[in-house]
Amino acid sequence: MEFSLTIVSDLDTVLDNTRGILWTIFFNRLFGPITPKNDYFLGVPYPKVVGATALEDLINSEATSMVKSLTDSPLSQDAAVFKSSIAIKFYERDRHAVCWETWTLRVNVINNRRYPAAPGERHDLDAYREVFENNLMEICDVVDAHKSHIPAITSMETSPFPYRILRQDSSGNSGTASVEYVATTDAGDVIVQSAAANTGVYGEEILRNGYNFIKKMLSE
Amino acid sequence: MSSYQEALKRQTKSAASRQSEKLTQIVQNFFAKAAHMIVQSRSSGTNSTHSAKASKWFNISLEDSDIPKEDLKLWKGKDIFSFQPLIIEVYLDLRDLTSDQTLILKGHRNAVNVSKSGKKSEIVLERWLLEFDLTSFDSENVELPLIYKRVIVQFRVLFTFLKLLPAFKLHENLMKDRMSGNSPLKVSSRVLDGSRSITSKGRIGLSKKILKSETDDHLKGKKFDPILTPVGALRCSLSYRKNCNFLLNDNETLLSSHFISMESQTQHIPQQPATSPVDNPKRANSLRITSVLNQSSSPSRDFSPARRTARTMSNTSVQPFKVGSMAASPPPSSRQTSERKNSTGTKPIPVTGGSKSNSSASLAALLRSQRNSFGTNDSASMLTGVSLPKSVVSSSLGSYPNSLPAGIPEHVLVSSGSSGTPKFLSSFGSKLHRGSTTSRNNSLEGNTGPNLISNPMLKKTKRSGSDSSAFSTVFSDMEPGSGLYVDDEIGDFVKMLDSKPDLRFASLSPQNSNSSADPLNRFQSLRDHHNMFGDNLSASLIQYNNPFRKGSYSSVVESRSDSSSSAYRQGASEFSASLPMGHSHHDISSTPLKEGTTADLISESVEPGEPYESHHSPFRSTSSHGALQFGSLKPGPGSASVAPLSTLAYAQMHKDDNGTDISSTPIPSHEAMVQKVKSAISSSRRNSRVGNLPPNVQDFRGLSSSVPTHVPHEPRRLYGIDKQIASTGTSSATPSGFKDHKLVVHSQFNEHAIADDDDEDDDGDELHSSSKKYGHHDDEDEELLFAMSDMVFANKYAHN
Repeated sequence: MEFSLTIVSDLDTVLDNTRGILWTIFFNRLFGPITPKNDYFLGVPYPKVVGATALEDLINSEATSMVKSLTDSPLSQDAAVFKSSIAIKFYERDRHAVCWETWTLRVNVINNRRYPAAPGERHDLDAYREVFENNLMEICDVVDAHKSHIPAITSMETSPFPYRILRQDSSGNSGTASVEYVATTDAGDVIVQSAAANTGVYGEEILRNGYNFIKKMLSE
Repeated sequence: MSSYQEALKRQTKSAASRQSEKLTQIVQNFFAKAAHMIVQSRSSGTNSTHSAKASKWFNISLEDSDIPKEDLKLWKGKDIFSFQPLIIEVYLDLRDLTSDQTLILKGHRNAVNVSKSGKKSEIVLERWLLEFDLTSFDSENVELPLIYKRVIVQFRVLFTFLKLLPAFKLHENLMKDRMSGNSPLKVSSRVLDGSRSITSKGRIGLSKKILKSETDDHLKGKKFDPILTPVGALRCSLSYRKNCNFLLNDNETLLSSHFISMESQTQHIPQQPATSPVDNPKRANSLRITSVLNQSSSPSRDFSPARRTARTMSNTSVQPFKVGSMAASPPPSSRQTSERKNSTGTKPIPVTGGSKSNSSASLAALLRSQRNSFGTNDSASMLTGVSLPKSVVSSSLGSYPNSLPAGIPEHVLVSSGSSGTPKFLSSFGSKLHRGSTTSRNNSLEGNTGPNLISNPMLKKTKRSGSDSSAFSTVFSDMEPGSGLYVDDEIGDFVKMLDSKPDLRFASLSPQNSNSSADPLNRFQSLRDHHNMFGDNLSASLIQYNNPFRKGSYSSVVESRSDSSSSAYRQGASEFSASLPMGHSHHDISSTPLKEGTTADLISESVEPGEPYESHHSPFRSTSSHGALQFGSLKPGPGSASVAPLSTLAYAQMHKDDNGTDISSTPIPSHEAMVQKVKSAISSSRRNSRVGNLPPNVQDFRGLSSSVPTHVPHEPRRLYGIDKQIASTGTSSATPSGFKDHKLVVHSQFNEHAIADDDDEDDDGDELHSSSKKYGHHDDEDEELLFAMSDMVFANKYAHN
């Protein structure tokens, strides 16, 4: 199953915006016993999980890296809108190569450093808030409507299914795409690897690398 | 049978029974958990840390439930097939609202005064329905772990979704207010038995649309995906108000903000030369008086069921709005001419003379007593009425969307009609000054304010793009000392009223000499626009005691220019009629005044619309609301902003000695008339109506105390106790109840499936369901493990 959302934000809010969306998706996919809590983006509450520090770090690092890459790219200083995408993939527990769900977040970042909004009119924040809220609603609708494709839950871990966060920056230049990926073990460990690679190559390789690492860790 | 077979049989049986037992537990906990989650997200309870007893069912750990076990006992039994639908109502609790607070619902374009304190005990925001639907099931899907997984997902979604609803936002805001200060409002929830009918007596139910002007549906629904089990389907659905932007305003704030916004809207009033401070107070006085009149008369109105809400609203908030409008629009000249001369000030004219409303004498006495008790009335009290509930307008006016409920003027009158007027005015003025900087962008004002929008007079003003300059000049010139003048005038007026109750108009007429040329010219020019009224004015003067004779209205209008009394009457009628209609003050002057006094208009359920042009007809049901009655002013050509009739009348009574134009309204006696009418109306209303005083009438302690307050005991009786609520309405009496919950299930979960909120409902007897002790799962962890164990083992090879 593939779902996609569009995030609209500006440079100042994109980090929290993306974090909120990522967290909401994970909240709905962390099927293990959890204690919920709330966090807010522009006043809109989104759910989080208490105690999922690894996931928290992962989400933070991913979102931060994305923003950083957007702003650091020399080609994009004059662009009005930065575009990027982040994907979350969930895999089957037993068959790691089988991805049963993909969430693609298309992130559009208004370059408000280059084109700042008029101080008197901060309607853009309202727009971001509205888009954020709509995204949350969309997630709710989607998650509620599609339950049959979720594999059987066979463990009591917080996250019974391994997941991956993929990031791709395209500041109008597909050639400079860089990919970072994170793979999680069954125990919830996080492995972060960054590799500049073609989009066509990273999948299997990274997966293999990732799981090798996992095996290594598990055997220790 | 061999022992092996027997053993197998037993095992199968026990396995099956285990399965069914687990399914039962899943269903039970579905109800319990969902109710828990919904109620908890809307509860004002303390944020307790997760206790050991936190429910971990469905892999989501919630704090201890706030729901009393009693409420959920229906869904704790073993017989899941007899589970009734579980309804959770989330409502805004208004029971702690004090009389000086007004509840407003802010819409896209306007805001509406929702409920006078005490009138409605609560407003239903959401209604959740949980049910185990026996008609849908999936006999192939017997895998409990699969079902459990789906419920897990469901609760994840529910948790996320609960926080995105407007009621949650309202709840959060109110919680913040409660922490920081004192907020009488809170969001609460209750659990109801879905098999019982639901009534919304004494409260604003879910199906009641508050912002009547907004065309799209005020409700939205959400249906969660049903979770199919072998024996039934677990369904969760919701119906909720889209707009929960309820704001609480002190009447003071309301008044000032409205006043300011009205000021900004009364642009049609031509720039007046610096009006004397005296004029302003007078105008304000007249405004207040008018509101008093309206106030008193509104209670006596009988609203048709369709207008109930409007009536409630108009009764409630009648407030400053009118003050503002009146203050802004009335022609200063008229005011300064006749009013100045009339020493009686802005006393409302008991237009009714005697038939319907209280005698002017009584009104005058009332006002006097109020005046004495008024004390240092800050502009708050005067301004409270500003927030004219738009809903009142729209609902009451029906086809005349611009008419303002009579309630508006009432408030205005109320504030002005007391001895505190002088101080009132001064504070009023100062309030304006203060407010001008702060409340300009007040939400009330933003969309032209609730009253502003609904006030046709203001609307006209706004449309005409006139400046609030006239208004602002009026008020900006108000000085603390100006109040004194007003006070004297009011007192004089009261005396005058007392002395000649029936001849008020006559006595006033000679005094109506428009000293200012400009207002008169203006008035005359206005009159040109309203030819129809010209002929009957004089006739109406004579017949002012006759209620609502066709054609007399206009005559009253006509006479306005002739005499202060006529002006009063005219003003009063215009005020009552015009408020909702956004007539400019010019229009006010020319608006055909219903035959008889305004008090008549207001005190009886007379249809004001008759003499008017056809589009004024909506005021037929002005019964009981001064506001309603005031709605029928015809929108004049005008640019003139809505001239507060009372102001006009007042101006007429107390003519401005220095001849400066207070406003552009050229009707000298208009305000006087208006005020008279309004005072009559308000007095009659006060005496006749129970408990319809607007919340901001606190200043008029004398006034309020004289009116028996009607304690709405019914709503409390109905809703004070959950059980009672649950049992409200015998099933036989309410066909739309949950007798057939299937109907509810299959239809969009909405109000239609539930007993109409406005329906009269039989009071149900107490919950008669046997209160057997249901099994109660104390050890939830054990249950959880059991459920999970099934999942883990059974799904090793299972596919979904």
